[in-house]
Amino acid sequence: MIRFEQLSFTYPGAGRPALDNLTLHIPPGELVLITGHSGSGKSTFLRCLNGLVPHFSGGCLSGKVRVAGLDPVQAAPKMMSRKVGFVFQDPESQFVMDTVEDDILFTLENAGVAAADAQLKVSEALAQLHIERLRRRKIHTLSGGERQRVAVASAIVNSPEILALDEPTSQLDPQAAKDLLEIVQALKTKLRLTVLLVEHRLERVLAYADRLVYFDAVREIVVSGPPRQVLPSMDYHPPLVQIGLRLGWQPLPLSIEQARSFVELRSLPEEALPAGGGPVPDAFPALEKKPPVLEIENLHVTAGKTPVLQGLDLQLRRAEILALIGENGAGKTTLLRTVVGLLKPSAGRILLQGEVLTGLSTSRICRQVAYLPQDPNALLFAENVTAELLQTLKNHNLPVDERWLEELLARLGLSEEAASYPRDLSVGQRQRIALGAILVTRPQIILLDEPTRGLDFKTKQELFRLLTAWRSEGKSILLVTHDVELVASTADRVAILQEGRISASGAPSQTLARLGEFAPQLFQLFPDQRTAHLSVHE
Amino acid sequence: MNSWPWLAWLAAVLLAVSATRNPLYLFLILLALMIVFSFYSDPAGEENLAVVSPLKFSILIITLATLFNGLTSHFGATVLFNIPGKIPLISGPVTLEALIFGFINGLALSAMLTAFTIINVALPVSALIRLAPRTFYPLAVVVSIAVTFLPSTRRNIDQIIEAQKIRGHHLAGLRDWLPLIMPLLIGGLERSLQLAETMTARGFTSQAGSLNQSQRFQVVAGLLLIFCGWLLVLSPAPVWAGPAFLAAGLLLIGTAFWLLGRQMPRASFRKETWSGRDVLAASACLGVVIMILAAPPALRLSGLAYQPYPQVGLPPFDARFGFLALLLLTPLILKREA
Repeated sequence: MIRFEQLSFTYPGAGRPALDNLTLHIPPGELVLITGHSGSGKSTFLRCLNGLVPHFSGGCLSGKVRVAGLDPVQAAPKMMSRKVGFVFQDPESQFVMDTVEDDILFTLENAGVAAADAQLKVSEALAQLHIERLRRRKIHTLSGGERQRVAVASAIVNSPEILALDEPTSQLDPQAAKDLLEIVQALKTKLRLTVLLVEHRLERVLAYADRLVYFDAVREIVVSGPPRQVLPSMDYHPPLVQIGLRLGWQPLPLSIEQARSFVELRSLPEEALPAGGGPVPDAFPALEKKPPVLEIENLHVTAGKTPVLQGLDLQLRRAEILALIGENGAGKTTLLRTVVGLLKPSAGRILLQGEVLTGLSTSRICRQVAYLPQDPNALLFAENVTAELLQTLKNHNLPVDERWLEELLARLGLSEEAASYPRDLSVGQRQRIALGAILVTRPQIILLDEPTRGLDFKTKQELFRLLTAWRSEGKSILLVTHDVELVASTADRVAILQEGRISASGAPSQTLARLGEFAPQLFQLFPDQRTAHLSVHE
Repeated sequence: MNSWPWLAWLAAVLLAVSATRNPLYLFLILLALMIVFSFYSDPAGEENLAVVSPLKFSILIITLATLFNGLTSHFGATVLFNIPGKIPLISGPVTLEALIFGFINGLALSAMLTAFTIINVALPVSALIRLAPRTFYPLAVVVSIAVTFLPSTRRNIDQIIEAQKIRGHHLAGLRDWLPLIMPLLIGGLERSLQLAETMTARGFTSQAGSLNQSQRFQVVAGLLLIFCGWLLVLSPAPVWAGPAFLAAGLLLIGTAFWLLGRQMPRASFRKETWSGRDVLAASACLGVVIMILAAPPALRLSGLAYQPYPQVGLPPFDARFGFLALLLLTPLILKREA
């Protein structure tokens, strides 16, 4: 179905090729999981399938490529759009029309499909994605999960042979991600599609994959084969695979169900535990003795007439990492925005070390409370990294301490990039610059909104190290995330936000267990053992 | 929902606004538009497609237009006060007439913008694209995306303002807007590129095809006929000659582009169907056009023209204009159907 022979591609103005001498064969009808570090060429590979590379991107391409019997370079994207359906990472920017039906029709209009067939095709696509009820809805009223389903419907409506998805679950909560993946798997079988899926969160997708393609940026090779064959050659693994490899489980389990047979009626083996042995005790009891630095009492916030937070109570203690989890739309971001004064509560109060924050300006609050929003790009505008940090100090009328700036840049791993233009850097680096821009005032509290979104494993590890280092310095961190594996490995305490209130709060081992199939993998596998710190990061 | 009654309504509103300078009539039109907008806006919804509230925008536009004309135009008999000194444009008498003239300009401008805002809120983007001739489909798509970009740009502005507040930024002078403008421009470009990539991946192409030799000849001949028709209109030739040449030229050009459109492989799935309400609404709009352009002398509207200079007087009022304003409420019929 897909055949790359010694394919090399270099973007215009780039010093080195994004794809270098790539040879890869993918048979029809497989669900192929593509992974690798950021910048290893995964997205470029995907865009070669439908001719976006080089027709849209420009650049220099050599070698041979055949996709569904066509050469995408010769056929060009218009012709290839009939063979390859494409779903992009960002649900916001992939819709052309404003209603669901019209957006799906857009694909058919471009292909010149006969009007008599079109309505039938649209109805079929909607039914396959289980979104018939959304047919007349405006796109902007849909949730993230619904939008991704509409995007998939638009991609498959003209019966392509290949479906390519570029990190389709990166912005979805675990339930929406699971729903989407199950639908994609069903489509593969029903429509005999070849599915190519780029994803960083392997723990979500691995169980669905027939083939794993690993873009190894360090060794500059691409490894392809059945997942169990490829996984040992990778330098990172989901927790379940990590423990399976460590204990020599054969065949290597890719899902919790497959792993259960290895652990039935057995306790966690000693050799699987981190150095020092024994389950790591929860830090929660010790935390209760620490004084709260941020207290949220009976907080009510409404959006228009819709209540979002309804009597929320929460405390963040000194030197604590508190993870706040919940479905999309539960009110997590609303809470963070209210804490820093971007939204006004209709009732309740917020106290920072005993001082009432409600009513203070955002800039005043943010001297003590750093807040990193979901999209750090909005924070960046200066001509270089150092200037970003200096601008925040200037805004707050704070003196410049050169030694502190150097130290902060070093800790963020940005010393060598101090003179670089921020928007030229990678996603992970931009996120760290944004962190620097909000942390330069030395705040006591750090609020992070989905900080691992779109980050690869290596970048997540760097973030993990930063979080634990800040905690050891006495800073308090409130972390909003869907990434339960990160929560399991870093958080001292977890709170679940549901329908505007905290429905559960406590030690990770107790609280995350409530998530059932969405709990961290090791919590599902060893529900009776406190394995919070035995994770991918150990 | 049929799009043609909406376009007829837009044409009727624009014609009515252009036909009069009477502030009472303009106010009536604006009032009708605000009523229509209130029926189509969704204040409870999270996303209101109107970029800004037409009421607030109208107040701003009318105030600015009134002040600008009042301060820069120094004609009129009723002097309110004098601005001393030698400030270019500004210094001199401020007259009631100049303020009212500016007020009328503001009313007209607000009415036009409100009408377009209503169309933006009420008609789906795809409906507008469908109305474009097939030849201009790529252009129609681009224009419609530009229209939908406005609400998303507004969301982006809000997001950037918040992000800069987080960094302690204060908006005091013009220089302080730089941190907002740069991310907005760059973010807008990034979004445009992403959208363009999506459209390319979904088979959209901006290549509209090219005219063949006979079509090119048709267009050139059509342009020549239009030119000749225009000369004939200005010359003492028979009355019918000029318009006939003009019509023939337009027909030739239209045919050339229609034939070009047929070569484009694009399907259209929705046929515009006419319901009784659609016919009624379109008829009402036609009624407005006839009342303004072609009413028999006995029924012709009076008081359309109004001039506050040299000395302001009360504008005349013809009760039939009230009926015309009522006809502009026809979208309320379409709303019930939708």
